[in-house]
Amino acid sequence: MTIMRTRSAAAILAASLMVAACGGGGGDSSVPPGTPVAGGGSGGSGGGGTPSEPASKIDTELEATRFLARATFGGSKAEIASLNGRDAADWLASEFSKSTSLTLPTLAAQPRDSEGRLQSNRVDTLYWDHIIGSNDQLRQRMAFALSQIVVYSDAADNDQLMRAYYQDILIRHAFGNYRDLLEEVTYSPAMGEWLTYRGNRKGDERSGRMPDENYAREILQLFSIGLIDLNMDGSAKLDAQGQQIESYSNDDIEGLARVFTGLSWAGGEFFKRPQDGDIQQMVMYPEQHSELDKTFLGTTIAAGTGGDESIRIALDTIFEHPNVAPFLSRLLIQRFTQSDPSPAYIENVARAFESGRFTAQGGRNFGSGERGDLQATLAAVLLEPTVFDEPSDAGTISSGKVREPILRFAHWARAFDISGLDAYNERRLADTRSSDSALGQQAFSSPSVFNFYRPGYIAPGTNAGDQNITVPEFQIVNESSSVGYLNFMTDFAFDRASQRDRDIDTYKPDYSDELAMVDDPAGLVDHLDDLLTGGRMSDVEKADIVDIISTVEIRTNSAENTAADQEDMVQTAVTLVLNSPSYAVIY
Amino acid sequence: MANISRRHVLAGLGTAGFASSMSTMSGLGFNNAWAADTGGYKAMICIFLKGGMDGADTVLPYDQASYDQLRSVRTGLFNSYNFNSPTSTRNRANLLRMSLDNAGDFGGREFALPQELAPLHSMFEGGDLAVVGNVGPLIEPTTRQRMDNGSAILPRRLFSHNDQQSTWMSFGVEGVSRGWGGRFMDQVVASAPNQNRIFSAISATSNDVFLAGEDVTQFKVGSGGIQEPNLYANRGVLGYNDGDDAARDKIRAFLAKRDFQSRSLLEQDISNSTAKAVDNTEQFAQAQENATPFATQFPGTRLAGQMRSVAETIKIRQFLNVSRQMFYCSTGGYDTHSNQANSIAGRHNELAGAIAAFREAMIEIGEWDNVVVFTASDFGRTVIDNGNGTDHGWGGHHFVAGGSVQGRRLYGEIPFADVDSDSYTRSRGRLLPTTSVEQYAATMGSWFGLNTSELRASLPNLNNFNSSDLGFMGGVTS
Repeated sequence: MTIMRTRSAAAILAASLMVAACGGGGGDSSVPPGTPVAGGGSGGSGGGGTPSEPASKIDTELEATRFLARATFGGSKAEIASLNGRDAADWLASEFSKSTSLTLPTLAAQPRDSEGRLQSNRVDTLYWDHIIGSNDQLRQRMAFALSQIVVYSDAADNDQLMRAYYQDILIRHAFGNYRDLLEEVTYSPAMGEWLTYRGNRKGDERSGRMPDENYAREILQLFSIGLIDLNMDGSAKLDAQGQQIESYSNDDIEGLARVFTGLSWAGGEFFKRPQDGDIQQMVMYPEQHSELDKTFLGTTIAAGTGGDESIRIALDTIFEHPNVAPFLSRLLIQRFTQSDPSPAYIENVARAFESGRFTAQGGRNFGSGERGDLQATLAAVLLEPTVFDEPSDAGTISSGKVREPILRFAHWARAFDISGLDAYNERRLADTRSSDSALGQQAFSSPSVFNFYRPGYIAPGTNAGDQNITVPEFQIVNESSSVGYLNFMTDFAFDRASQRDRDIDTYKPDYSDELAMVDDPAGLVDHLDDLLTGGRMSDVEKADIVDIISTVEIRTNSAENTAADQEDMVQTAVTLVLNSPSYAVIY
Repeated sequence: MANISRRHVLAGLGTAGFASSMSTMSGLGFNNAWAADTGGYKAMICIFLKGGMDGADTVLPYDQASYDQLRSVRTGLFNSYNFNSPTSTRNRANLLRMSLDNAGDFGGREFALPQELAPLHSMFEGGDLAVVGNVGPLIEPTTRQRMDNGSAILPRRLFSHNDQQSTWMSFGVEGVSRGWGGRFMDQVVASAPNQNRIFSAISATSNDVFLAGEDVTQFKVGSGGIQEPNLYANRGVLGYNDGDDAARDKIRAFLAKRDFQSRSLLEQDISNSTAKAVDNTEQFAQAQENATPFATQFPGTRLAGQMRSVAETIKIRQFLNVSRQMFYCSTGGYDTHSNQANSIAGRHNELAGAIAAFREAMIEIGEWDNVVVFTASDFGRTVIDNGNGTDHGWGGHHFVAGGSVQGRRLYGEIPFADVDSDSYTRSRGRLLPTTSVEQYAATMGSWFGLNTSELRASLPNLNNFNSSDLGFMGGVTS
């Protein structure tokens, strides 16, 4: 390896010695397998001794509902019942061992037109069916979280197979190592097209042409280290003058841009896209790769180093940066449990990422011990003891996560065990991007690589904003989105959304349990509160809904009319709970 | 700061007591110089071009020497335009030369717009549109010498999309919570007690920081007109039984309720937000019942849809009780690292078509003299290309349009494409701005009715520049 370091040479040397001494376990690890990190850190409820019962032990169906809202696309009635009484750590272990369900094979098997093309929006509708119907819920949820960090969007390219191939990269690596994920992402045709480095040529002195800097900039800013140097708890490091320290300069970008030259379609020519080039990793075309030296982040890759080797060194260098653990930890926590994670929580997760290990309070170990292990990291996110703490009896609660609209829709479908899991028949699921008339969000279709919202977003004019609490999801909430969401959910909860083939009743909820409760409106609302919010609705709100559904007229002039009106009553109750703030916020 | 404390005094008095207390306040030493001029009606419309519009591929040099110079430093891009072809939009013969009324300010240099911007070219020639060259975020007047020797104070995180979008809108990197559009409206509502705050700052697009003020927050209009919750507004959902109307009334009241005694701060915010949506969209929908459709046809693009919503809102302004309004629209696709020759044409078409239709609509209702439309963008782009695209830069060129704009003129500078000169930073031909965003904003702010103190309160670095009026709104250049 041709590598010269100006900053972290000692650290790299130490790391490679450690790996050698420990007998390996992957060449990417720069931190030796260390002491397992106790969940919650020292001094917490679970620190030190052996607690009689870990915080993550699920003792009620309400706790099960809340946990599944954080860790999956929403709990079904059966899953809630089966999780009750188990330690969530055991549930995690079983999720980690489930087989993987991918998306490309299903998409590729869909009907084609005479020219071999898929019907439009197939990849979008299959995605709904996939996240709602898949058994490997935690893996799919993690892939969805990753899709909002290493953001690929089909906004600029409607190649559905290319997108599904990318979706599967995130699904396959969801429980793997972040370094491996970063490499597969870098070579993926979807990312190459999206961030424009597929076909990126080395500089040319004669014409003055310089390499495209797009991927070099965004892999640093958004996928790995961020803009400023971080402490392990996610706070900014400060220099002697008390100023934040920028983690890279424009010179680093120009140096790193040389690395990402020469990649293009596999099985074709540099400029020519071959058949199936969109579902194979890109390959290096040496003649298009920069031969100059490449200096960035204190590393210099010597002139003449080959393309694949340069990428490997660059990704190692980026991955070794101390920012990676706290940077990713904060983003992941925001996708699962807390809109505004505490420094202590970020540090717990970052230490799991660094050490590649996490030990749950009950003693179960997660992770391979390699730095960047995502099972250890995810376990630290979901088993964080403070997340299971019940709020104290008095005072304002500022913790919790606002769930994005995609999660709220999928949760409804899972809670009511919908039949006819064929989103292609549902016109409104083909494109859910509009905030005026749909969810204001569609997976893998964010407007830019900056995702649907920014992790540091503080909403003006809100209570949370006044307290400087970050709530990314509030960035897509406004007057028209509030009405748009309510109308979208109304259509599905009432089973009145427009369908391609009206003879096939798709996305049909099963309200039989609820219809059996219409004579007890208060009981019905309590049941929906338990099922959908984990029992978080206030008494005032529940009383209001009871009053509303008790007002819905139930005709008695025919059994048919009575049944129809009772259905209205249940559907109204469901819709109002889906619109409850307690359904949006999980804590 | 003085104006902020005054605003809080006003808030304490409440609007009803404002008129009678005005004389008392003068007696207490409040100076009339603080009051913004809010007579008549005026609106500012920001079009944010997300991704960083390439100024050099938008306002092109036209005199042969300047054109040849640009072509020589972006060979790849000009080749991808096939510029020698008789039909190429970047063939000099096909560029639309701009007839500058202030040509004398530029020696022999001439400028042109590409054909995709033909509607804007017509507006320019007709005096309804001006170009402001090389605008960008600056803390103070900045030279390359001072950058090189480290004495320049620079905006933070240059070249980063989200941070420079934020800096254009709020003069700080991402995370700053107040934008200058919102701050301008704070000044307006402090001086115009009858102004309805809810409809003062209106977004037709995403929730960006531009419209966030201290006292004013944005109202969002959708592109498909105002929607109300079907659960109570559409009788088809629940049905037509007698009891259902009563249920609908209760549902409406429930959705508009703000306090469910939740202890969760986030839940409280969501209740407030839903209630605000129900109340505000209802008010807006009622005002809109007075409106008749425009004869003007808007194109079917994303931006034109937003501009149509803006036009429809201006049309019902008297029912919304506003004398000043700040609007925010945006569109994407300007991050042209690759394939620029194909992609920027569509973006330019969209931009020009939307502004032209908006102008026609404003003329239709007699408001064209009372509005100013202006562009903004993350940054300009590198003059040196990367083969078939360009990378992140700093200064860029922008359009201002309206009946009150002193058009047919170029303000600021469009430097010669000698990328080694002091007009550019040390690498890749990134233009060093010669006009700050704050000067650009202040020029429109003066026209909008804000006085010098109010402008300075909204634009933190304005004092560092000699001129706070570039003259394009007909003000005295100062």
